[in-house]
Amino acid sequence: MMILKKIITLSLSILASNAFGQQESATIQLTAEKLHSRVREWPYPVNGITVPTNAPALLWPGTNGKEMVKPMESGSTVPEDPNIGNVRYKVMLARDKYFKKDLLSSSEQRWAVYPLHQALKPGKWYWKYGYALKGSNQWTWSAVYDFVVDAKYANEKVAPPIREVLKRNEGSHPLLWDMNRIGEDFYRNNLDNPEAKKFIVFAEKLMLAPLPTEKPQRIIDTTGKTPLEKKIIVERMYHGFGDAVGNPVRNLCIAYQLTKDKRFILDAKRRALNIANMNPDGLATGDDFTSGAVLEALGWFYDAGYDFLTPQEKEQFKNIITLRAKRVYNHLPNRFELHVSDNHVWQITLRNLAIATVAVINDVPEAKEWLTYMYEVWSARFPVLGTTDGGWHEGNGYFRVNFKSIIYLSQMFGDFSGVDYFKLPWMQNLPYYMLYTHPNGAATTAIGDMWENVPYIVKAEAWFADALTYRMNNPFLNDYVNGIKRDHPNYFHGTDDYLFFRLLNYKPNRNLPTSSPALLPKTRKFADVGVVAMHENLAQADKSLSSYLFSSPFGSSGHGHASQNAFTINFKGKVLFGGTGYYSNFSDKHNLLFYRTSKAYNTILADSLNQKIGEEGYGWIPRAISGQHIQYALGDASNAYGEIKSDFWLDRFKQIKVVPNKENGYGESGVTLYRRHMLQLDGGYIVLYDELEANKAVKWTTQFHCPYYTIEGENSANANQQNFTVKTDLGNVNASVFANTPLKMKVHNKFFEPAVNWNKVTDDVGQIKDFKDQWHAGITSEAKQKFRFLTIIQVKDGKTEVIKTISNGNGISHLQVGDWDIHAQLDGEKTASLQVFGKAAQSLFNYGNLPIIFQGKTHKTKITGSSVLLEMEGNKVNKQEVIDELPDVAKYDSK
Amino acid sequence: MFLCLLGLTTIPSVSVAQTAERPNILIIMTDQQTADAMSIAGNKNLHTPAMDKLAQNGVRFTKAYCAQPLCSPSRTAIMSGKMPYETGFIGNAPEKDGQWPDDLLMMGKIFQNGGYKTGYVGKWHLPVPTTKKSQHGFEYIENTNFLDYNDAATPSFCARFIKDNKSNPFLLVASFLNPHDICEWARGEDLKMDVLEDAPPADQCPPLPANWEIPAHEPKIVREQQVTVGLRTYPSVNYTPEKWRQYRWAYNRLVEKVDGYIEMVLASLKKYGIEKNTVIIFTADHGDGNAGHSWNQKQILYEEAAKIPFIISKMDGSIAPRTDDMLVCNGIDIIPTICGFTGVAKPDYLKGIDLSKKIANPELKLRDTLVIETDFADNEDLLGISGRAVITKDFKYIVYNKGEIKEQLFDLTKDPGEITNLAVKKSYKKQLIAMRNYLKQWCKKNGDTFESGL
Repeated sequence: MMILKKIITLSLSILASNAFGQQESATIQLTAEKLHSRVREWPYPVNGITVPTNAPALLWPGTNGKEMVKPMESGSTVPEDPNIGNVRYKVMLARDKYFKKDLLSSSEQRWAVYPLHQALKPGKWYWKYGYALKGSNQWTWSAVYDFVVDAKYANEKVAPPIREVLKRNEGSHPLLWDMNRIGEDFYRNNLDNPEAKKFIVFAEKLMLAPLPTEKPQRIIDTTGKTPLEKKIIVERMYHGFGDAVGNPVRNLCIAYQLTKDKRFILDAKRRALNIANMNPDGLATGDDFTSGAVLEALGWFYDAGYDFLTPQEKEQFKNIITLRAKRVYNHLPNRFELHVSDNHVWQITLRNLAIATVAVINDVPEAKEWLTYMYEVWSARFPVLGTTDGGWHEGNGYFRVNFKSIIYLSQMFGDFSGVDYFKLPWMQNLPYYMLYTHPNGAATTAIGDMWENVPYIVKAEAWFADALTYRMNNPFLNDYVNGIKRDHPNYFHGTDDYLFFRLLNYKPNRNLPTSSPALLPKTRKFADVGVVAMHENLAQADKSLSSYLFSSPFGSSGHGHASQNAFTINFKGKVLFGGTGYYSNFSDKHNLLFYRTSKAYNTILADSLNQKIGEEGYGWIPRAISGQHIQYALGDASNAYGEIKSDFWLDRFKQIKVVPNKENGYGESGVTLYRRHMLQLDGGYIVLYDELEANKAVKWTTQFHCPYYTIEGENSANANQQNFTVKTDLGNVNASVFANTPLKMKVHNKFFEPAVNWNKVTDDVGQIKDFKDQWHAGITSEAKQKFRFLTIIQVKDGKTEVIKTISNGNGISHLQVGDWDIHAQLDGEKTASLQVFGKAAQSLFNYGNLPIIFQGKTHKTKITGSSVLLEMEGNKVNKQEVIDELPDVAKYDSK
Repeated sequence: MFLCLLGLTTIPSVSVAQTAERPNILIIMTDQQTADAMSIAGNKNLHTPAMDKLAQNGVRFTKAYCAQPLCSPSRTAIMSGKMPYETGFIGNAPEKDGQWPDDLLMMGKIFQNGGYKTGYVGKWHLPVPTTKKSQHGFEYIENTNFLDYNDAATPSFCARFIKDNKSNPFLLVASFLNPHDICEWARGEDLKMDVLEDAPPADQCPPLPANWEIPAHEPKIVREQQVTVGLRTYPSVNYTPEKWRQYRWAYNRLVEKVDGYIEMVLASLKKYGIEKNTVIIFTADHGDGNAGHSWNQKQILYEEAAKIPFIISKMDGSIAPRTDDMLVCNGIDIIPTICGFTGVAKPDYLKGIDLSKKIANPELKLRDTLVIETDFADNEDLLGISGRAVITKDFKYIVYNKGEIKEQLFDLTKDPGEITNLAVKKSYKKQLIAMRNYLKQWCKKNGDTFESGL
């Protein structure tokens, strides 16, 4: 097993190293079982890689003293390893492998991350980690790993060590948000802030509300439901209870800090005491979210209203805060930091715990450990996923759930450490991710859990983007927010969760220069999360065509779906092609057999089998080119297929007594290659070219899904070509799929597993969702080991064009549509080739071995197998040639 | 400049009158006529004087098959000279622009380029708009839409073309719809074109064929797909023997109807004095089950559905009348043959046989094995069930890509009705394997991606 692992590691690293320098081959084939593991399975940094920083965080697989810590997470029924608290770790780091030179030796710790809090000298570094069981001094040490620090990072600011952070928090209450230092400025600065004034009026009304009791937010009938369904329904009945009772407490504290009017803090106290007395084991505040929200509110009040508490009340608050805080913290060390992204914690409960911890930092003895842990994990892992491209791996439906924590934790840890987390590369790229994947006036990318709730810019996105403008100087972000404010003035009523952040960072007469996104490239690749966004007109996405290709190095992790190499298309801001089905819960048949599977997506099935769900079903984006008239993306889902490996997901199947077998769409299909080239051409054309291979003959099905419109199949004369139209009021839309053998099309409006809203999930404005039928088209090949599909989708305001077949010789189909000439090699046994030429656009795209003749001249590629775009820039030919480039995780953090 | 010159040089040839070297070509095509539905073929239950006359003035090929027994695929093969598996046109298809590759020349275009006047009258059912003359090359194209009495109008439209072009070499396709109306008759609907009197009692109808019963060891998939497709196409699954006999009666009457119209077309040649300088090819797009193996319709690879009439005839006495049992495929052989007769340049990529050589020299052996194909469909909807037949002088091997029993092997000499499936007999193992291997090699050599899974 060990040997096998090494071989995989070696082959990956050789291939990976090719991506840097003189890469001989244009194509990289990844062989790793996964790029991100659900919990860390290999150490970082290793294999002599050059880290992209002067102070890396050292990460290693956790152990319980006997074996590696396995995936467990909040909300799962997989029982937590009872032994994760049995070990402690130490780290040694030096400039020689005998650990003599510049040795850094850590103190003992309970968690498996070690962020450096000092700049390392440029050069090679060696490190190892060791663990010992509780009560033992026998240390087991890992192998020695090495990495390189490049001098170019020498001057980067490094987050200070925890002792400095703790020292900074040694003052008197209120400690949160540095209020004991900035409180007076905060008060004065906001005296004339119109938003603050409005908020105070709102807070006045809050005081009039009756004290809440422990009652459900909504009643849902559980008659005839299974015990598991009942449990989920009860959670839904109380979902939001914590915020409903906690937010008024926080808001009244804020009102007090804005006004120094004691009425507010006294009413906050009355309400805080009320929730402090709520049953921590009851249905209303007993789950991780509701309890966390109560914890945060109690922390807020304890800190802001400290002077208004009697000693007995202080004790009462400390006790309940400690109880609820431990409930979160005790499940974190040696687990949470190892997890690729334990959703509930990163989304919400880490923020709840951090706020409560700072509030009691000097009053509850355990709080210093809590803060140390959170600060270390934050320093090592934020923004959660070790990415820099600004994107989110689960799609945008669930990205927004993280917004509040991103904003407030960045603010809080920035207060402590002096590091501006809003200047991290990920943060700097974030505005572009938002702009490209969810432009104003348009629907978001139609992928991942709950995307269907984001058909336009929703409040959380608006507030988050706006909040970012307070700490960033990005004219495109400012323009984005201006547009949102113009179109959704009702969102900004001054009582939202981001208000306090705005008050903290309030500057009268802010200067917010803007730039139009028209100045930005039409295409942008977000390689870490595996998204390419291609826009006809990014400045007017509500009037034009946008298309997206997805292939995620995270696989279908968390709220992400098995949608590798799926495309989506938005037209005039509406989702034309996207994922289908409806989100209800992970433990739901429709969810596990359709919604999060490849069957729901515009990607390919092999023998009707899905990609595997879990981190193992990964893809990646090797290439993208932004052109003037041709946009290009290449996705690779070669590693996405096969049996489900993820215990987390297998457990979900077990919970609802469904077997992920072939009848249900899961299992080994033998896929070894699936590279999808996607082009968006001026004039309303999308071209897909799929290179497919398996270790046996399989039937390939390329799928198309319209969540909101009807698909109508068209009879085709030629069985090697299948066509359908989409009935939509947006314009004229059709698609043609070509192959070199007969294809069979099925158009229908039935889910593989029916969608039933049994737990009464609601949309963003609280309406119970109607799970309507949606339309699907599947076009299936004969059983072939090597296969190609060519797809041309036309999305037009006016008439669609007839696609003319010019010739079909030697497997090469020569087609003409509108102004575009397309050559594609459709014979899977021959070298894959695609050439697209626009006469009027004076643009040529080439991949493969067809001769390239552009503007009367023959052009050659630098590297065989590259993708080339030739366009005219005035009288000059502008040539862009790209080859495969690995995402950062494969460059830096492979086994 | 080059193009201009080329244009100039081709124009004079257009006006060159017909000569013995550049005879007219008249292709007469019926729809769904099985090879034996002619009196000249020995069928006593019908009377086809026009077809018989053609056979009496030419060569009747007794082992001629269509490329695929379904309308559009067969017609695309006839019009392109390529097999359906090569072009992808394996299903029935609407007229639609864009799908027919520009570089796959159509019969009309080939002859137009060769300086011939070109005409097409009657049923089209090709995946090219009739209006797109630049692609199909038939300058005169008429009566292609479904109408009452379509076939009755075809001789008239043909006559006009013949009259207008009597001084020029021409290619004319007279494409009749009958006996296709048997499909409507079979399900009790009004016929598409003509009216037919009620069938007499069964005992006054033709007898059931000797191979009427469903044979043993038949691949189940062919009957299973009948159920999927339904009674509209296959009402015969519930037929009594009596009803089958009436079916055969009606079929024969429809053949006789079309024979009468063919007679009119032939009369026009005579009327305008070009009878002697016109090569006539008579064929059909595919056959009909005609109660053999209890099958109506086509698609299946049995002889009744796949074998079609094929006569090459010239009314000048130049061809000694005879029959010929060389294997012919009308789908791929017609274009090379008419190019052979006329000297019109044949596209290099065509693999079919030039039968004009066989007419000139009856001793020539141009083909010993033929492969044809099928793809079962519910009208325009393909079912994913493909088949191939390998036909030799004596044997026929049929294989489908689905089901437990996929293969059939018949000794056509001893068992022309294809009743005894030798594929299940141990003593024929060798022949079976040889056929299987032949097909595999053939597919490989010809780029046919058919896979039986055997």
